[in-house]
Formats: sequence, C-alpha cells, structure tokens
Amino acid sequence: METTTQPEAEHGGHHDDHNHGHAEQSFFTKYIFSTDHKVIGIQYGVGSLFFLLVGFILIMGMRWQMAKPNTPVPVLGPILEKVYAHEIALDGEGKTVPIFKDGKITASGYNQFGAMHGTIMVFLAIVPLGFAAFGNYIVPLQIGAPDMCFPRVNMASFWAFFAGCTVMTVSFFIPGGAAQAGWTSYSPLASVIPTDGQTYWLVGMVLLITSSLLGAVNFIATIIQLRAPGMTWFRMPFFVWAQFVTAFLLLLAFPPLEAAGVMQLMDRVCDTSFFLPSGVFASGTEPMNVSGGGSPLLWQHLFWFLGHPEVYVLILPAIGMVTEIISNNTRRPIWGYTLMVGGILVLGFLSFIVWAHHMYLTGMSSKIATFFQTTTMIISIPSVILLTCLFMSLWRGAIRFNTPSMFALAFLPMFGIGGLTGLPLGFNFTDLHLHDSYYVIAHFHYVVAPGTIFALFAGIYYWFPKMTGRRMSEHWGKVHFWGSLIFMNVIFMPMFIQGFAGMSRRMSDGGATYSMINNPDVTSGALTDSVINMNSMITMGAFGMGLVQVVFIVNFFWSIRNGEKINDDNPWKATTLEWQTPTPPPHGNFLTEPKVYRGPYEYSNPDIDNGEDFIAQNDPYKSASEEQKEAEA
Amino acid sequence: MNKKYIGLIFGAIAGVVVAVLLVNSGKDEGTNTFTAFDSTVKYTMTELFKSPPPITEHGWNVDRVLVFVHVLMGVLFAGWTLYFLYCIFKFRESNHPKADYFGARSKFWSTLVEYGVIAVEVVLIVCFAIPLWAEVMNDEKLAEIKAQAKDGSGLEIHILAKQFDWSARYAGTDGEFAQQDIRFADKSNNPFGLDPNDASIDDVLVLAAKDRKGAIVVPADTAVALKITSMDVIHSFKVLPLRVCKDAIPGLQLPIHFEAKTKYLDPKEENKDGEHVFLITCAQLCGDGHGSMNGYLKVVSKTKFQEWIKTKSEAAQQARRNNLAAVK
Repeated sequence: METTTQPEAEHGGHHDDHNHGHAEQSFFTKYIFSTDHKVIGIQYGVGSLFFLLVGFILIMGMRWQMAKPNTPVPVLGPILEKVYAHEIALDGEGKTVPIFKDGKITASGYNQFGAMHGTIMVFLAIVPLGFAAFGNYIVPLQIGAPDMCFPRVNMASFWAFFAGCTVMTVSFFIPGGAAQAGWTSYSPLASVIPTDGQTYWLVGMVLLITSSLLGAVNFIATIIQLRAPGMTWFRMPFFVWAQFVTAFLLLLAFPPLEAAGVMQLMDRVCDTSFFLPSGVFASGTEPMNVSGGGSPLLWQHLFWFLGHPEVYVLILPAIGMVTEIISNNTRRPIWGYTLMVGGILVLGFLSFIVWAHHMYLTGMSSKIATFFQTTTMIISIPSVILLTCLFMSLWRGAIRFNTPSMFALAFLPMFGIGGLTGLPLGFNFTDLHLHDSYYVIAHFHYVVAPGTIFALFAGIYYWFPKMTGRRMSEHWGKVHFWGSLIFMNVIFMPMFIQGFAGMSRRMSDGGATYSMINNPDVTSGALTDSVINMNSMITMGAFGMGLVQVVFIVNFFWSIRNGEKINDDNPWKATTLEWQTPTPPPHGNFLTEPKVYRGPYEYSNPDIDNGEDFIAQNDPYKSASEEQKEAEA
Repeated sequence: MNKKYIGLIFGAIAGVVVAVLLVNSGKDEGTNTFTAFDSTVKYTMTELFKSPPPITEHGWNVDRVLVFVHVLMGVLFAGWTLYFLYCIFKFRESNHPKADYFGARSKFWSTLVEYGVIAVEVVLIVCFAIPLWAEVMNDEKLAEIKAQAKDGSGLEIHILAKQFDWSARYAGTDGEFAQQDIRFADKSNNPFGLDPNDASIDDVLVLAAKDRKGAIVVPADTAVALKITSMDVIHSFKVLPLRVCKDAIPGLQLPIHFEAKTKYLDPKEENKDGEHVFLITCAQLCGDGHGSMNGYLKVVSKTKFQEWIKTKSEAAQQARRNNLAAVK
C-alpha cells in the first residue's frame, strides 16, 4: 500500500509544481484563464469599457430616431440594415418588414435598442467597471492582500460574466432581434413577445447575476479575512468600505431577480403563468391559452427588489473612488471619515426597503405608499451626509487640478443634481405629474452618467499609472473632461423641461405623436414645438459627446505604449497601500507583507515631519510625540 | 454652536410649521391647499418648466408641492455650488499650497445643512405628501362618488387599455353597469365583453378614443371615479392637465378619482363646440405601438354631458335591438 501511494503523492506534488511553473509561462493561463485579481480586473475593465461604447452607440441610434423620426440613420443605418436584417411581423396581418428598413429605425428596433441600452449600461458596463474591474484590481492592493480570497471563484465570476455578455450580444443577431420590453422587462409584455430576444435576455441575466454573486462572496471574504496586519476596519480606505457594502447589496439583492428570471423563463418556454393573470389577450381576438392566476405585480416587486439596491451598486463604488481621489488631490484627510462609513452602511441597509417607490402608481394602498415614501425620504439623508462630507473635505485643502481630480470634483455638483432631483420623484403625490416622464430619465442619468461615469473616468486616469507604469496625456485628458462636462449638461438638462412639459419615456418617435402639430384639436397639454425641438439639441449634444469620447479612447490606447513614464511607484504621492508596491504590481502584489501603522488619509499631518506632505499607511515612522509616549509607557 | 442645539432648533421650527399647516388644513377645498404662493407656483410651472396648467384641485396641489420641493432643491444646490466654487478658487494649490490637516474645525455648517434638510423633508412628508396622497387614494371618497353616480352628481367611468388605444364605458341612463363576461370578450369588436344577446344593455362605449369626435367625455365640476384595467399588457393612463396617472394592469382594476373644475379651464382655449380637449398618454412601455398610443379626452359642461350620455345611451340600445332583429 505504502509503496503504491507514495509515488502517487509525489507525482501529485510534482504535478502541482509543474502546473504552477506552467502558469507563470503560458499566455493562456497568465492572461486568459488567469486567477490573478489584477488580470481579472483588467479583463473586466476592457470588457466593460467595450460594452460602455456599445451601449453608447445604441443610444446614438435612438437619439437620431428621436431628433429625426423615420429618416435613415447616417453611417449606422446601412450597416444596421445589412447586419441586423431580421424580419418582424406587423400585428396580425402576417406581413413582415425588416427591423431596419432602408436604414430607418422602426418602433421594434427602437425598443430593442432601448431595452439593450439600459441592460448593457447597467449590467454589462457600469456594474462590472465600478465594482468588478476597479474592485478586483484595487481592493486586494489597498488592504495589503496577496490576491482575492478565492482566486478560482474570481475567475469563475469573470467567465460567467463573459458567458452572460456573449448571450446578450448574440441575442441581437437571432431572428426577431434582441429583447424589447425595456430593461425592466415587465410581464406580461416580456412574456408575450413572440420573438426569442427576451428568452436570451433572461438566460443572459441569470449568468450575469451568477457572476455578481460569485464576485460578491469573494469580496466580502477577502475584505474580512485578508486585511494586512494593522489594517483595522477604520484604517481601511473608504473605497474598500464602499466595495464592502456594494458586495453585500449584490449578495442580498440579486438572487430575487435570478429567481424571477428563471420564473419568467418558465413562463416563456414551459407555459407556466407565474406572471400572467387569467384572461389576458396577447394578440388576436382570443384570450391566451395559459392557466393564468399569476401576478404581473410580482415581477415588478422582484425586479425592483434588485433594481433599487442596484442603483447603489452603481453609485457606491463611484463615491469610493471620488473619496480617494479628492483626499489625494486636496492633500488633506477626508472630513468626517467615520461619518461617511456610517452613512454608507445606513444607505446600504435602507436601499433594501425603498424598492416600491418605483411602483407608486400600480394601485398600492396609501399605507404601504406612506411607508415607502418615508423610507425614500430617509435615504436621502445619508446621501446628503456623504456629499456634505466630500464638500467639507475641500475646505482649507491645497487642491491640485489634474485630470482625475477635475473629474472627481465635477462629480460632486453633478451627482448633487442627480440626487436632488430624486426628491420630487420620491413623493408619490408628485409622481402623478412626473411618472414615466423625461424628468425621470434626466434624474437617473445625472446620477449615473455625469455622476458614476465621471467617477469611473477619474478612476481610470488616477490608477492608469499603477496598471501600466505610464500616465495618460494630461492635455487630452482635460479636453476630454471639459467636453464631457459641457455635453453631459447639454444632453440631460433639457430633459427636465421635456419631462415637465409632459414628454413620456420610450416614445419611438421622440414624442411626435403627442405634438401640437399632429394633434391640432388638442387645447392644452400637447407638446409644443420648442419642447419637441429640444430633441435635436440633445441629439447634437450626444454626437458631440461621442466625439469627445474618441479623444479618450485614443488617449487611452496611445498612452499604454507611449504615455509619459512614471519614475516613481507613487506618482500622485498617495498614502494607500496600492501605491507602495512595484509598478505594475507583481503576482502576489507585495514584495514583503505590508504592515499598517496608520489611517488611509494622512496628508499634511503637522505632527509628522518626514519631509513630505503625506505618509504611507505602511510607513513605520514615529513622530517625536509618539516616541515620547512609548518611552513613557 | 453645539450640534444638539441646531437639531433642537430645527426640530422646533419643523414642529411649529407642521402644527400650523395641519391646523389650517381642510379650511379651503381639499386638504392643505396652502394657496399663499399660488402666483409663484403658476409662474414657475408654466413659464419656467413649460408644464401645462392643471385643471383639478389636486392637480394644483401637485404643482404646489413640486414647486416647494424645487425651492428646497434650488436652495441646497445653489448653496453647495457657491461653496464649491469658492473652495476650488480659494484653496487651489497655487493660492493655498499648504493644506490644513484639520480642515473645517466647526461642524456648524454641515450640521445645519443636514438638520435643515431633515426638517424640510419632515414638513413636506407630514403636511403634504402623506395627506394629499391619502386624499387621492381615498377609498371612502371613491365609494361616495359611486353612490353619487346614481343621482348624476358623480360619475364612474371604466377605462380599458389595449395595444394600442384607449376605450371607456359609462353606465348609461339606467346608472348600472352591465355584467361583463370573458366568454363574450373580443379584442376588436367587444373588448368589454358585454352580452350581445341582451338588448336591455344601455352602457355607453367609447372605443379607441383616437380623435376629438370619438373622445372619452368627462363633465366639468363633477367628481369622476375611474376604474382602469388592461386587456393585454401593462399600460398607464396619464392625462397631464388632470394630473391623473395610474397603471392599467391586466387582472387588476385600479381606481383613481378627480374633478375637473370650470374655474381652472382657460376660456381662451375652449374650441367652438365649447370643449376642452386633452391627450391621454400611455406612460408604460407596452410594445411596438407604445409611442403612438395616444388617446383623446374632452371636458365639457355638465349639461352638455347629460345630453351626450342620453343620446349615446339610447342610440346604443337602439343599435342592439336592430342587431338582434337582423340576426333573427
């Protein structure tokens, strides 16, 4: 027995060694099927930036259709007609037309673009970029860990994400095209659309949510278990706190939608009726042949139980990044760090009990509505606290204006607009006016576009030197910043007015059906020319926005090889641990295990006289007074 | 100043405001109308925000609350922005090269902002949002309107949404809605599912209200209760000048009520038939035709409405008798 087992064990050990050596060399294990959190972070980053662009191209097509309804889309139109040549049936008559006939966007094409714009931007671009890409790359470095807690789970998370993205992408090219019931996929509409796009959407969502869950458990375990010695909870950089809370939101809020997704899938492919009531007429004159008895509202509850914490999944990593960058570039500690930590913990908790404010007009009783609007108003308070702390942090700083700091600073007022305009939407009574209007679109885009995306840009400019050893061009970075700031506001500011004027969302003709010109008999409430014409202005803004992003894309790829080399591992003179390693960090991150002696934002501390205006978290320096204290002890 | 005092002071102010508003509530028509700033409200909503003026009492309250909330938002945003611009100018590196480790030493201003926001939000919730919503969603009020419908002082209308138009049903001269049955329902010919063999049914149907002539008709100065549902997918019934919005969900009948007031109707806008015509918007994505799912709703005087319903009701009954005779 012994003689037989022994060699096997040896062989096994040898095999592992061999694998390990192999992992160091093979291109596939190093860059494709990697378990290194930094490579996975970059994989997520590249993937999500690609989908950010895809989502943006979709909205450019939609904006064209809104500004010039039923005219061929320039450039994109002929391509769409060739690539996207599905036929769709017109209601009832059996006649079919291509979705992009003559390069024009039909209503069905518009709805597909709209549904996929939302889905791609939220689930394939911003969550993976803010949480997975930056989280993976930065969090283990910032807490002084060699890698994530479960590297293989981390890899599984990325590949589940990859599979989800593939399914979503493929859904564009199947007969009938992609999902078209909006990113919210309300049943019964989503259940009764005959094309397969929605089925693909559901399969894709299940994969993406699986990916988030795997990522979330990994982040939680890593942050709890792998902090370096001395990295106490309140010495963690705020970004890590933000990722920690975000991971809990993903862990607890996403499973209900995974379950709901499977249920809707069953409704579509197995003729169940979880979300279909009795006596629904899908198309044609007879009621649908389903058992019925389901509830369309159940889907909405399950969706928004994910959907609202999701909003904080989008914004919390962004606030984390902005906090890091503002502290670094004002050269002083964050004002009210513990208050902010308390703030996001409360925010995270409250985000679970506000979901039904998306459903005020679904016949909810006044008592339940009262509960949800009260919690919605309460949740604005930690948000105000977070923003106030960041504003107060500027006071008596020495503010450096580089590209990351400008994006991070612009985040504050822009996110302020987004957050404040949530107030009138949070009251159910004012929703009678604003429900489903462009005001809603403007509100959440201010939160996510000039809010989160600005923070993500700031993060890219800020951590780019760590990832590549080179800086991105400051000059073109500033061009990118000013262009983005101006065009963001050109795009989203007029939408508030359009919303007040009564323009509804998801109108495939940009509201023309509700215009004064097409409804000469209407005495009040039809959309005036000036409101309709704002569409053209917004569309021009969107195209300007696209041009400015070309600057960013060129700058990004050019700088990887040709950017200004940094001659120091810590080019921003930052305190946190990710800057105290070689650039880019090697496998295992730190040459020696870091030991943490102080908090994350020790800038301009008058007690510390080390010839710099900052001191790294792992710097064992003792001030004269500390030494004296120790001597006394 | 001590943080606790700020909390106390704001708490006291909010308490007093809440008390004053609640004591004064219900003195005008409706609850908490709070009409002191109406000219500002009107100017802000119609001139600055381009919003069509409301023609209902609760619609005016919606606008009032909207303007009050936007004042709060404006004050906060202006304050933040001024402070922000001052900071990035004053504390730019070239002007203020040495950062101060302690920064703002007093928590006065941040505490002031936080407690201020809390106080204003408490006032908005307690005095406006909750009571006003409770009034719009009031079940007793709905029951009362249905009871009044018998003597003509109230009116109940059933709204039916389907891809992609709006239909309505009135009880007719007998004041009773006929029984519906899913067996008779037919999406194009008989969406309400009325018994085709019953000639006594005098319900007035407005099918596919897509233009002024075929519009859903609503009398002015009459409490109207709507019961909204859908045949297929989820739609949302929204008439902005009425400030009415409610989802149309298959399997559910959702109520909402309103009263269009002559005093808010602009006589200059009245057309030559003495009607005010408004658009019904679908406020929930419902498929390919969602963008063109408009409907027409017109507000007419009470007497005009009585004439209209009487003629329509008799015509409906006559048409049914003729149909049955033809079948026989």
